[in-house]
Amino acid sequence: MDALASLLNGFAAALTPTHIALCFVGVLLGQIVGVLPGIGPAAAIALLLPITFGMDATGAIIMFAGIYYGSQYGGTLTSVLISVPGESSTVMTAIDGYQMALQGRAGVALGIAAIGSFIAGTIGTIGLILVAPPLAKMALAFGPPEYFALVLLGLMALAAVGGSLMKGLTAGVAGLALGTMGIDPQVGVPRYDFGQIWLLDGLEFIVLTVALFGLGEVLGGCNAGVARPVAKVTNVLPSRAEWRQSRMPILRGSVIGFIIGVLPATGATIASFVAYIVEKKLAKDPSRFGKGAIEGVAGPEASNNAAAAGAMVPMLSLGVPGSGTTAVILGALIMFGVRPGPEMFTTNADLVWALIASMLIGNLLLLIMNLPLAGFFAKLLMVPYSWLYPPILALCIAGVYSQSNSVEDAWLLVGFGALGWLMKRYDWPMPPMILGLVLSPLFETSLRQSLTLSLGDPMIFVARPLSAALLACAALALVVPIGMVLWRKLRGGLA
Amino acid sequence: MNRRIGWGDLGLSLTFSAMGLLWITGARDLAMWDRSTPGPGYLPLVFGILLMGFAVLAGVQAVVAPAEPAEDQDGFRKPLLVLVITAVAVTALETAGFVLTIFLMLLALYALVERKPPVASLLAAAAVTGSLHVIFAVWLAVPLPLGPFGN
Repeated sequence: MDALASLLNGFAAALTPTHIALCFVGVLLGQIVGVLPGIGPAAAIALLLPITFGMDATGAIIMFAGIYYGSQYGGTLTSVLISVPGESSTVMTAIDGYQMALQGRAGVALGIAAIGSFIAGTIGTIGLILVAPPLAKMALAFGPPEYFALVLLGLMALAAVGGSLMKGLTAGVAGLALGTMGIDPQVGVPRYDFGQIWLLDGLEFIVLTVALFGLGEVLGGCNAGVARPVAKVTNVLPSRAEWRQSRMPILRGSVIGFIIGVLPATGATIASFVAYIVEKKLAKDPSRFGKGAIEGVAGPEASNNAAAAGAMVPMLSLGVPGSGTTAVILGALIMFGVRPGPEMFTTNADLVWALIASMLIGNLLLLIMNLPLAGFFAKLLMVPYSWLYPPILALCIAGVYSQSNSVEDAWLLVGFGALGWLMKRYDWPMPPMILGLVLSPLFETSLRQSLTLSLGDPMIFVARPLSAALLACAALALVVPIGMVLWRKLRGGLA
Repeated sequence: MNRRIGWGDLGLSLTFSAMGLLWITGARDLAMWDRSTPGPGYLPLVFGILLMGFAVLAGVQAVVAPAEPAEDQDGFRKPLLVLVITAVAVTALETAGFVLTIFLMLLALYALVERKPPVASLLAAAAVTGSLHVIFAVWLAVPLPLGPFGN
């Protein structure tokens, strides 16, 4: 009942004209960045951070969340119409979605994706309402050792998800190290300022995020300047038979997506893979998959949208992001003076519940926008990237400069932008670096407070059951990928 | 034996190793342990050591078992050109002012890098510069750098 009352309060806050407008802007922008190549939701949020300075935190976070789940819808368009997934989470949609487009059923593929996404987004948000508050209540018992272990778990999980564990760990620790720049939070000693006064405040989250996700993405994508031919979109409403084929995949995808989304760092991409595999396994005729099976669109699409809501669970209840984009949203929360973590449900209850209510509103807005406007959004695909990236670059410079009127920050943008480009080019994950920078102060403070409590005895981390359990999970996040690589090599050697 | 090496991965691992070394060196000037609490140099030292260790292992991986190069590995020329133009714009930002710098940067990107028609390039550069000026200088009241002509 508490959750219901809080949700009603959330609706009261989210249904103000300003917040509805911001929710609409967020989902629209999300839809657009999902469609446009070379810019993802993390980059879009990063670029908007400087513009949202001075805005109320609730409105800004509602807009950022809208960009996140709106981009899942947008990525579908490119997957179906040109077989180029706008987001990694829509890779599986491209397999059957594009085949449907080749058969002249692009509209139906987009329609079922929109309906499935709406249902899954709503189920995912209801899951968030049911799971996040009790999880946060349990986590209220956390002391400094538990926080330390939690940050370690978040970093390990995010670092371990990419292609190479070593690259992920290097990026994560680099972020943590960058977070130690500036005045030491406990003793007040300057660290790593290299004799520069402007570095005494440390490296700003906005600068690194815009550099890696903005400039880095632009440099990585500016070679792809030509637009592709786009399939025509007609009649987006599925027939009764198509709906019958799709409804169970949508429900299964919603459940799978939410559960996988809740697990730290797994996110929408893995969720859509699992949903596709499950649908193929359950199909009476699996040979239809890859040739335009509507279940191959409905399942993964539902799954990636439910996962976007699921990824909000660890972020809101524990302060540990479930994906790269939620890592950026987490940084934004800190920028607005909100301390992410279990106490958010008590100290910032208005913000959290308004955000959750806005997700239900945003999903409805997306459904309304997508069914009649799918053809319009498809036209965006005809804009070549060569027209788009120069304004993004200009926005990066203006945004970074404006956050502290410092040309030195603009220089950092160029330096870290070059690093981001190389990281993208050689497949080094960037989210662990951002998360490391964001969580570095909490990591350091909780470690130092824990050791002060225990008079320097590190056993405090394993003596407390919750902390020990979280550390065990962190160790598993590290050991399991290594074990899987070794197992694959062993099997390969024996074969 | 002709062994393929992941030069890009190797370069990045060397960069991160150098950063780790910098953190280790910097931590030496800071207190490590203050009574029973880690001092300001403790975690930076740990991060420096871990960073160097992980980066070296990533470098070894790049030599011993290099990742397959991605199929769409595009050239370096255009991104480097875009990066240089961005760096020049940042250098000129405070002397030439925001409006002039951004306009010229956009014009260079559209007309020189992307070979767009001159009139379209001029119009796009002017429209984007104007929009950014309105958003940042007018709506958000950000004191963007003024150039010699007060722009």
